[in-house]
Amino acid sequence: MVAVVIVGSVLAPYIAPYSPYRMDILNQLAPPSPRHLLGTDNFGRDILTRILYGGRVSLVVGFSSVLLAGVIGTTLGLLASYFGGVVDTLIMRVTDIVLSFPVILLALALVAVLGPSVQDIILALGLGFWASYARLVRAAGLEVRTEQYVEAARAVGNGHLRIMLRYMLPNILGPILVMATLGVGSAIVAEASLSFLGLGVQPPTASWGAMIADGLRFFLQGPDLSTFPGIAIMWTVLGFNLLGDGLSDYLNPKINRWRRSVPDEEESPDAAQVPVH
Amino acid sequence: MPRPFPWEVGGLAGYLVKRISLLVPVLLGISLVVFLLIHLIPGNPAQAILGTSATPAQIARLDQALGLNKPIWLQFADYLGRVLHGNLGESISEYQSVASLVAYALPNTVELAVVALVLAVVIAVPLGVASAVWRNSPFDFAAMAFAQLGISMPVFWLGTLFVEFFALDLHLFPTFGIGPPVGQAFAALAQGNVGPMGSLVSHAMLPALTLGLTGAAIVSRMVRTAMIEALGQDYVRTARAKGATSGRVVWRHALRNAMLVVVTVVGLQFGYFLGGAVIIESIFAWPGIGRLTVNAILARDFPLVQGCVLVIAALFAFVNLLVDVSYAVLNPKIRYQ
Repeated sequence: MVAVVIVGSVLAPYIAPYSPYRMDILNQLAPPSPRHLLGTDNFGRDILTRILYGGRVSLVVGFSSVLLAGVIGTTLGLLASYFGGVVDTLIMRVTDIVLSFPVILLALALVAVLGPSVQDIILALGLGFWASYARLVRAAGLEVRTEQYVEAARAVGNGHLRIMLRYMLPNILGPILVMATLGVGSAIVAEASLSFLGLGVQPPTASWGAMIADGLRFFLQGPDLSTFPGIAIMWTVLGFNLLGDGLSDYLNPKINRWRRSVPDEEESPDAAQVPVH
Repeated sequence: MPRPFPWEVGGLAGYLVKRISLLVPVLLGISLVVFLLIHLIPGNPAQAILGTSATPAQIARLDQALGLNKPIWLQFADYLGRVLHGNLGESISEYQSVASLVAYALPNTVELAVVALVLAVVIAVPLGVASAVWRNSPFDFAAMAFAQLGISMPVFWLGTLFVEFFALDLHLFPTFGIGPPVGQAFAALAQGNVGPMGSLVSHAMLPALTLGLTGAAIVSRMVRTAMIEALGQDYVRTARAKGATSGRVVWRHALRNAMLVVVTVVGLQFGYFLGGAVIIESIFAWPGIGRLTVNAILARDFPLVQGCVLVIAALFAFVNLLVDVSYAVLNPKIRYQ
């Protein structure tokens, strides 16, 4: 599922039947036809083409913001678990504060002040999502920190940085990867939500969220304008969710398929993350 | 021996004191983040708010009004002092105090979130329990496929589909606006007049259902997991062995213990609904704090944005506190850690 989206988006300039900006004035809000497989929008632009191009925005924002969030969160989580004490307390307090904002609200507020360019959206989402990674990594880091191989690495005189990156990080990478995979889906939904509200990627650039907003505006004339971009988002998010679930099962074969979704009593190094809408 | 401080005591009281005292730094941090928002604006915030056509005199006046010409720590102290007095500043676009705008919008959002929560629980608990009882049956697979789809479906698309479907094909529920205030509806109901209450519920139905269905998808998965775990416990086997009917075992014994997870998840959902409301309220023209926030952002009304974000985040932190406390009350294991 994910592969279809990636291939479609990467190859968009080659496989799309039209240019995403080409307007067909005589064919506005046309229903699906052989000429326009998924119909046209209010400017007569081909919807299939715009979905393929919109996928590029979604994927770029999804992957980049997760990468940003993952790097910030993992770094802080490692530092907190490795050094403990004041460092730990300080980092975890900041994490608590960030976690008290609904992600979409924080992203909205940041986009409001930064501006709605792709880079700023990535920055806003990255800053909104990092705290859950910090929590996860800290919890996992606390578990491996007392393992013998970490003790041994310390005993033979490795530096702090080397112990964290060479010995601790590889052993907690699994749950981080699972959370990141699920996170791409959440980030794509968040980007689409911002675009839907008119605060994301600005027109005329194609974006799935903005296409659904157009559908809502013109639903009397073209009732299925929002259907296909909606399916595109759902398909993509479902793909990343299933991939994350599968990855988690693969890394954790002992755990029952649905068991993961229960929040554990205390923080546990389990990437049980529910997409935040 | 001196009497121990409350936080030195174990047990529920100690836990409560510890957990509630954690709220203070969080609230302080939230106000700091909200305060700093305006300083993240590239260039001069006053210029950004007034637009490019502003004269230097106008900018200087707004600088003065917002206190932007003082040192930053003094600005934060001022800001904190004002917030503690309930003064959230003046809205630039609405010519009203931010506090009065928020005070009007917030109850509407809470109303929406409560109705959504009720719908989510009503749908999710029976679904999750049935899935757990008939594990790996076709029903279970269908229900969990529904849940997976619901989780993957962006909430604003579901809302859009609802508007299109109900406005075009079925004229069952209104697709925008809000009914009469809750107080009025209850007063009318007390006098035997069902009209206002009906209008209230029908207006809330679509936005609440949109939020509630996505919530139900998540909650039903959690309920199923918790029930499967509970049904495998010894006390359930004992109850069965003592001859309790299977309905009694499921509802009285297993569900009661699975409730722990349910309460937590439902509480967290309420917090997520506050975030989801930001989007849903815009679709259904619901005059809540989410729509207020979005309109404030579109109007570049930064004092109003700050006020809304502050109130939503504080509410979110408070709901999280309630979830943790109810969890501790329900589960004695937590308190002694």
